[in-house]
Formats: sequence, structure tokens, C-alpha cells
Amino acid sequence: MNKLSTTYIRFKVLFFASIVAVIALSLASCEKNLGVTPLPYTGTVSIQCLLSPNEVPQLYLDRTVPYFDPKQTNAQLFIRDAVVKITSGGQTDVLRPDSTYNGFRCGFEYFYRGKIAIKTNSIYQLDIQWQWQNYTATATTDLPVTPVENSSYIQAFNDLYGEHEGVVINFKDQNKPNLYYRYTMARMIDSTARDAGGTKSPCLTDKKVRILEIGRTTYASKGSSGLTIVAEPTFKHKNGDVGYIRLQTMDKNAYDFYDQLDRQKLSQFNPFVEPVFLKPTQFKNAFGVFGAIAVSDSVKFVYPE
Amino acid sequence: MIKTYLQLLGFVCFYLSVQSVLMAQSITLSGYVRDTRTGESLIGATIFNTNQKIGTTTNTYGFYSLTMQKADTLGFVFSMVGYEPQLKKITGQNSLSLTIALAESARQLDEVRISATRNYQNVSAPQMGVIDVPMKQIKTLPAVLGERDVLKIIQLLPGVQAGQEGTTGFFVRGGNTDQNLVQLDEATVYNPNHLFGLFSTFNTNALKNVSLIKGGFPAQYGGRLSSILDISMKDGNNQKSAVSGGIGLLTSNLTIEGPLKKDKSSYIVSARRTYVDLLAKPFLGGTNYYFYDLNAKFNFWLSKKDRLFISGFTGLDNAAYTGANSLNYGINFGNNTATIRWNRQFSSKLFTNTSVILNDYHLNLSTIQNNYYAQVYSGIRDLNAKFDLEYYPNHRHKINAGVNYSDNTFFPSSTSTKIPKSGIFKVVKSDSIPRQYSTVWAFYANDEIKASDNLSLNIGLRLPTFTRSGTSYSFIEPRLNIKYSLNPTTSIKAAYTEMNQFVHLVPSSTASLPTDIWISSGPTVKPQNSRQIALGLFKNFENNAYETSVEAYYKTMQNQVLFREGTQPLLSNQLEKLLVFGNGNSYGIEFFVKKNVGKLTGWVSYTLSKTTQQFDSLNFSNPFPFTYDKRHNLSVAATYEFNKKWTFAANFVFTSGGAFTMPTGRIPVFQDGSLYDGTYSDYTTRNNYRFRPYHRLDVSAILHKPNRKFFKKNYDGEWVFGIYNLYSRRNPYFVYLATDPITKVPQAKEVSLLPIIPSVSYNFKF
Repeated sequence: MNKLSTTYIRFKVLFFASIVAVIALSLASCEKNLGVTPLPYTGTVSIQCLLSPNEVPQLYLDRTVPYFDPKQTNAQLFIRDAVVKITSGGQTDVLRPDSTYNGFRCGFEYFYRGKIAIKTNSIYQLDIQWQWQNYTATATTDLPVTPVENSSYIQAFNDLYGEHEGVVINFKDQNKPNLYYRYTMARMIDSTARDAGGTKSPCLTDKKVRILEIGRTTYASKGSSGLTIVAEPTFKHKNGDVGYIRLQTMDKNAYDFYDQLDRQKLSQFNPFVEPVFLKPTQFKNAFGVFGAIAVSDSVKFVYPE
Repeated sequence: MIKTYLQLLGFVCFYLSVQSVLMAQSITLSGYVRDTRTGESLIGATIFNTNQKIGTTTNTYGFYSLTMQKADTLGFVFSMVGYEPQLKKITGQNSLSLTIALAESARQLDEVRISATRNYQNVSAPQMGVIDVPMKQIKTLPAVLGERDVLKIIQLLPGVQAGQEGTTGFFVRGGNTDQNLVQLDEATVYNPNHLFGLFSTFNTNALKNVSLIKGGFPAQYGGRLSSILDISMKDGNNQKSAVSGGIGLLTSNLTIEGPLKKDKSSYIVSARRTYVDLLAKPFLGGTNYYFYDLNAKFNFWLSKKDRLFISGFTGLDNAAYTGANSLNYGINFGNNTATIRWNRQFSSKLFTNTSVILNDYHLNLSTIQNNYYAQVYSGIRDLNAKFDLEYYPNHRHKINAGVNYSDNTFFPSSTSTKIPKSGIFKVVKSDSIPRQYSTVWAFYANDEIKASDNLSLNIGLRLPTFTRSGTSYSFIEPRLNIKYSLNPTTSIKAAYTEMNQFVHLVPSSTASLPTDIWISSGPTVKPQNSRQIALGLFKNFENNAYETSVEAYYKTMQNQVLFREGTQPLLSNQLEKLLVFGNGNSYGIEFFVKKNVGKLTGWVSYTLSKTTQQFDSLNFSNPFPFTYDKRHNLSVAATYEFNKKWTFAANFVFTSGGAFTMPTGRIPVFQDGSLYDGTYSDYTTRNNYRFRPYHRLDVSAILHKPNRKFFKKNYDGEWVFGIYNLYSRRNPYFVYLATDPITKVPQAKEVSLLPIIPSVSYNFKF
């Protein structure tokens, strides 16, 4: 009896000790903000300029910052004191800082704007001087316009990004090498709009404002007669909302840049995707693109649901 | 040409005639060395001829063979660490078969007394980079929740790096975990872990011997680049039935062994299981976890020269977790092995072993994070057949040769997708995964040569041929170990080895869960290969009471695999097309001091090393540090036998932080608030950041309670009190990036896993 009761008591002690230990273990794993000593970072610039015939050039120029730098917005990172020139056929357009108001984000977006409209079948050279650095590149505006044949809507479409609604755009592939496509849609939105992540704008009212959605994916020419792309809209919509779709035909420089961004974005969202290192493509000492696009006429699109 | 041929023929005839004359003047002593109490065959016991100053050691099955000159009488010492040495005198005119039983030495004072005949294999054997893990230390050193663990001890050895906090994963001389061949009774164990690596699958009560080879591989070993962990199960007590076990906080274990027929056959069955899932079921909700493992072994003496072993192992982990931050996972993995071995002693000089081994491994992991679903399935089935012979022509040569055939089936799968609105997504079933079939043939021969009293060599050649889908790879793997004795207690050793490996564990650099996948070499995935050169100085002091060594190595590794940047595994993708290939190299110097005798025993090991990798399509083609490149690695393990009642033990570990990747800059790309609008990460170098250094002190105290009674049965009991991470150091487990919800500024968050953990367990042995 004594032996049995001793054994029983020992078992009881062990049982409760084990419960305490398991609970302690599960609660004790700890998470804390890490005081990372940032590695030295040599900043550079981010350049975005797509030349579209018959439109004046518009160039985004921002500085890169150390990863943990508190500066976040375009207003904080825009480089205002650069000298930006675009030259073609002996004619130089000096671009000046300008801005537009982004109604959804409730703030101004800053960029450089030129005065001389871009011509077709011309070679353009970009020269940027900032803080004793030069950034140069060339682009040729010889791209054909690719008209949108028709468009439709799909409620659920599955691709790399998972399931999402989609704007379906059918068009005739130019069937040429080094041609790429991307969609845009101009829309009017009000306070009911949400972005794809479900975030509501803090400043929108019932008054509608214009926004331009630009597809994040660029599609390569498949060399087939007909091509369909299904684009994920940036903003959520209501039944009967109207948008105006255009198709951008773009060159390889533009594709290389935006495709990298797209792949890294995917790896940022999906925890099971390997990280993507962005590599300078067109500029040796900067990230960015100086490319050419040809934009189609717009096609009216009405959300059916 | 004919003249040369005749000269060669003449030389061979002369050599054979000299050999036959010498053999006519020699005798051979052969047999087995066993434990008196249990009948267990003893591995690595030394047999030393005191007249002619020559010796040998027992093999994996306790067999020895020593050929020497005839004499009127010959004296021998049979010895083994932890056993009373035994002296034998025989008449030296005829060959003799002699089986010796050694008695285990008592604790403490006896330990000191036997030091004079202590094993000095570390100095005298030509092989380098071999460490026999002391089983005694495994039973005394502290461990997480009191679970004794052989792999935790492995991590304390020089040249071995631990993986993440608390895990049993180990990295040897810059190699990844897949480059370690972990064998239990010759069967490969692909995942030797329980509980995400907190414990190993090996139940120490069922183990007899553990050896780690990290360089200078003999030719009988192949198939991995970095290490061989050779674990032998006990044969089972063939003298009397015995029961031992332990009750711990997390698990309990029970081992039963005994003779089927005394001296002729025996069995051992050992099982372990967690019971938190049973005891705490009402409190666990959507969380559930259990693991178990079961070892069983039977052996039969079919005749004086034939012995049959049948052994098996099964282990399973099953976990489900539903947690905060949308993190859910379910994991189910397990190893099953079965081994049949037939020992045959053809003569006093020729010993053979024939093995058939079955192996089955699976890992099924599904997880949901941030509305993304991922599933990894990794399945492997192997059928191996081996024939090994050991031939002892004279005391200067020990020849090993053999052939190994392996038939392997791999079925890997990996998928990841955003969870659709419906919440329904496709789950991979193992039956639907395409199979990868491959075969490996390997022939080998190895000669351990005592060229002179001072110079010994181990020369070997291994010839593996791998075939899959019509693609074959054949290799020649030279192996060379040289030892030169400066004096009886000091030697210099050098080794050169080439190794090839036909399996690859593709590590995921993103997920913190074990999502690594095993794949086979094939037409697009070339076998991994390595070349390693090592140099060492070995010195023992005070009658081998202290062992010391310094080893330096340089190793190159080719065809290392990683996932391509931006890889998103999809069911429609072939995994092999998502891989990139590169090289690695590692070099370092390892210091080891071990105290074998006295009240205080243990060791200190320190490794200074550097490992880098280089992939053409990663990190801008520049070399980058290996994830587990840890510059400094210090381990101290000590056991102090205070008196007959109390034993105290402690271990301390310090390592430099491992490498991980974080962006160094942010690249803004703004335009109209489109989907791509925002900031991007500027990664300048892969594995550019380092975790904080890792250090930890564990202590334990064992209260021995011998000669207890339980229902009139005698048993030895012991209480084991332990504290893991005594000063509760918050060691880094992993780091992830998040964004401050208000300021939107990126933040790095570090997760640590195991704080101070006290434990108590009770062990008994009837």
C-alpha cells in the first residue's frame, strides 16, 4: 500500500509539473522588436518615365533610402533639385517639377513634366544630373498601337496571385518580338471605394474623383493572333461603375523593370515565395526605366455586377 | 611488353610464396568480445598482444581477428572504455577462436584505476575526423525537458554546428543537414527529429553505440558529403530479462529486453510516447500534438559462425496548431525502417555481413499564413541490399570490400496559393504525386595498412553509379588517411576524401517551418560532390586520461541547390525546374580537449570556421555566407560525480549568430496609386545580417537510488533534475519584417523560443 501510494503521489506531482511546464513553454516564446544596426547603405535614385506619342513626358524621380528610414511618401522622397532633360533631334525639353492630387491617397504626387509632346519613330535621350551623378538612357518611340477588341468581367479568376476578380481584355497580338502589354483603366470613384487590400480612403467624400488604375502585370507577346489578359483592378467597384480601358504596348526596357517589381511584390505578399533581388536594368547606377509605350484608344467598360 | 609481363608475374609469384611462408609461421586469434552482464557485443574493444606489441579492435558486431607470429605463449589484454580489462595467456602454436566477456567497471574510483589501459584509438588509428559519442555522457548531460538526446550531444562536438534554437539539426563542416547520413542499424533515417527538432527520434535506452565521422571517410561509407552518424541499437540482453524506463514531463519510455534462448538469441523492444495530448486534451482546443517511436530488435545465433539480426524502427509526429495572426499548420511526418542482417564468419580471417534494408519516410506539412496556403509533401522509399566483407590477412592489413545496391523512390511536391474566397483549395494527396525512381550501385575496397610502427594508412576507393530516367552518373571516389606517430601518445594525421551525393534537400529561405523538400538527382539535377582535405595533431596525456586534438580542414562542395529567386511552388511546376545550382566552400580549425577519467569528466571544443556559397543566378553572382556559417563555436560539457548518490552535469554553448537576409534599402516606385505603387526592397547581399550570438547554460543533477524494491523486485532508480537555459537567455530563433501600423515604418521583429525550462524525470531499471 505504501509503495502504491508513493508511486501515485509521484505520478500526481509529475502530472501537474508537466501541465505547468507545457503552459509555461507555450507562453514563454517571446517576440520583440529588434534593434537592428542598419548596414551601410549607399542610396541611389528611382526613375520612371514612359514616353507616349502625342503626350508630354512625365518622369518620376525619387531617392532610395535605408530600409528602416522613417521617410515613406512620395512627397518626402521626391527629388526636387535635379536637372532633367530629354533630347531628340537636336531639340531639348527641360522637365520641371509638377504635381497632381491623388484623391484616394489624399495627397499630392510629385514628378517632372516636360513641355514638348513626344513624336513617333524618334529616338530620345534622357539626362538627369543630381548631386554630381549623371543618369542617362535612350528610348525609341516606334511601337505600334494595339487596339482593344473587347472586354468583359470575371468574378473569380485564379493566377499566381490567387483568386481575384478580373477585367478581361481581348486584343490582337502584334506578333512581334520584344513587345509587351499592360492595361490601364480610368475611373471615377467616391467614398465607397476600397483598394484591393480593402483599405478605405480617409478623405474621399460623395464627390467623385478621377483615378487611373495601372495593371501590375506586364504580358509578353505570344506570337499568336489573339491574346487575352485578365487584369486585377486596383479598386473595388459597384454594379454599373464605368471605366475606360486602354492597352499600353510597351518596349523591353519597360517590361524588364515592371516585371521585376511584380515578382518582388508577389514575394512580399506570399510568405512561401523566395525573395527577389531587384537589379538595375537600364541604368547602371539607378533603378528605373526610360521606355516607350503606345497607348490604344479607350474602350468603355461597365461593371456588370 | 612480354618481358614486363613476365617480370610482374615473377614478382607476384615471389610475393605469394613469401606470404605463404609467413602464414605458415603465424597463427590467428579471432572471436567476439561481449559484455558479461548483458551479452551485448562490444564495438571498438581493443585486443593487444603484449609480446609482439600489436593489436586490433572489434568491429560493429564485436568480432576481431589478429594474426601474429607463433610463439610458445602469448599474452593479450582485452580492454574497453568503462570495462575492467582482462588479461589472457594462450599457447601460441595454433590458431584459436576465443570469445571474451568483459565486466563493466564500477563507477568513480574504478574509473581511475583502469586509466592505465584506456583506449588510445584517437591517437593510434589512421582515421581522422571520427568521434565516438560517449553514451555515458548522453545519460548525464542536461537536455530540454529532461529528454536525453544523442543529437544534442552531437551538437557539442568540434566541427558540428547546431541549427535553430532548441533543434537537433546539425551542420558538419559547412555542409547542410541533408549532407549528414544518419543511420540506425544501417537504415537511413531521413528526418531524425521529433517536435520540430526539439528532440531526436532516437530513444537512448535502446542505443549501444554512436559514431560521428566528419572527415577521412572510409570507403564503405558514401552517399553524403559531410558526415556519417552511425548509430547501433543494442542487441538485447541474452543473459536475463530486464526492464528499464523513464517518466518525464513530456514523454515516458519503456524498454524490455531479454533472452529468447540464453546465450543464443535475444530481443529488445523500446517505446516512447508523449502524453500531453491525452492529459491536456480539454485545454488544447484546435491544437494537438503527439509523437511516438518504437525500436525493436531480435538476434539469433544460427550456428557458431552465423548470426541473424532483425531490427525495426517506427516513429511518427502529428501536430495541428491554430494560432493567432492567421497562422495555422498541420504536420505529419514519420520514419519507418526495417533491417535484416546476416553475419557469417567464413574463417578466422574473413567476416561478412549481408543486409537488406527497407526504409519509408514521409512529411506532410500544410500551413496557412497571411491568407496564403502552402503544402509540402516529401516522400521517400528505399530498398537497400548490401554485402560487406572484412578480411584480416595479417596484423598489418585489414581489408574491407563490398557492394551496395539501392533502389530509391522519391515523391516530392510543393504548392502555395492565395486562399480563394470560397475557402476551398486543392490538397495534395501522396498517391497523386509523380514518382522519381532511381538506383545506385556502389562498389568499394579499403585497406587499413600498418606500414611500420609509426606509419599507418587507410587507402580506399569507392565507385558509385547513379541512374535515373536513362541518365547515369559514375564517379571514382578516392579515400586516403595517413597517420604518423611521433611517439606512443602523439600522432599527426592527414586525410583526403571525395564524396558524391544523389539526394538533395532543397531549403526554403522564407518559411520558418520545416518546409524543406527531398528530391533525387536526375537529368537536370546533378549529384552533389565534395572534396575535403584535413590535417590533424592528436596528443594524449597522463595515460590517455586527457585526449586533445587540433584538426584543420578545407572542403569544396559542388552542385548545391537552392530555389530560384521569386519561386512560387505550384502544383503545375516541376520542382527541378525551380532550382538553381552553385558551389560552396568551407574551412576551419577545430580544437578538442577531453577528460576521460576521474570525478570530473567531459570536454571542451572550439571551432573557428567560415563557409560561403556562390550561385551564378543568386546574389548578383557574388559569394555569400552560408545560412549556418557561424564563425565561433564553443562547447563545454562536464559531468561531476560528487558521490555515489549525486552526479552533477552542465553544458555551455556559445556560437556566433547565423546569417539571414534583410533588405538594406527601400526603392520608391510611385504612380497614381496603382497596384504596383509603393516601396520595394533593395537587397544588396544575400545573408547580409547576423543574428545575435547564441549562448546557453544547462545544468542537471542526478540522484541515484540504487537497490530499491518494487513488489519484491529489485530495481535501480534515479531522479533527474534539470534546468535548460539556466539564465534564460532569449536566443534568436528567427527574424521577420513587419510594418508599424501607424507610422508605416518597417520594423524587424525577433522571435526567441525557449526561456529557462526546469524539468524533472524519473528513470528506473529492473
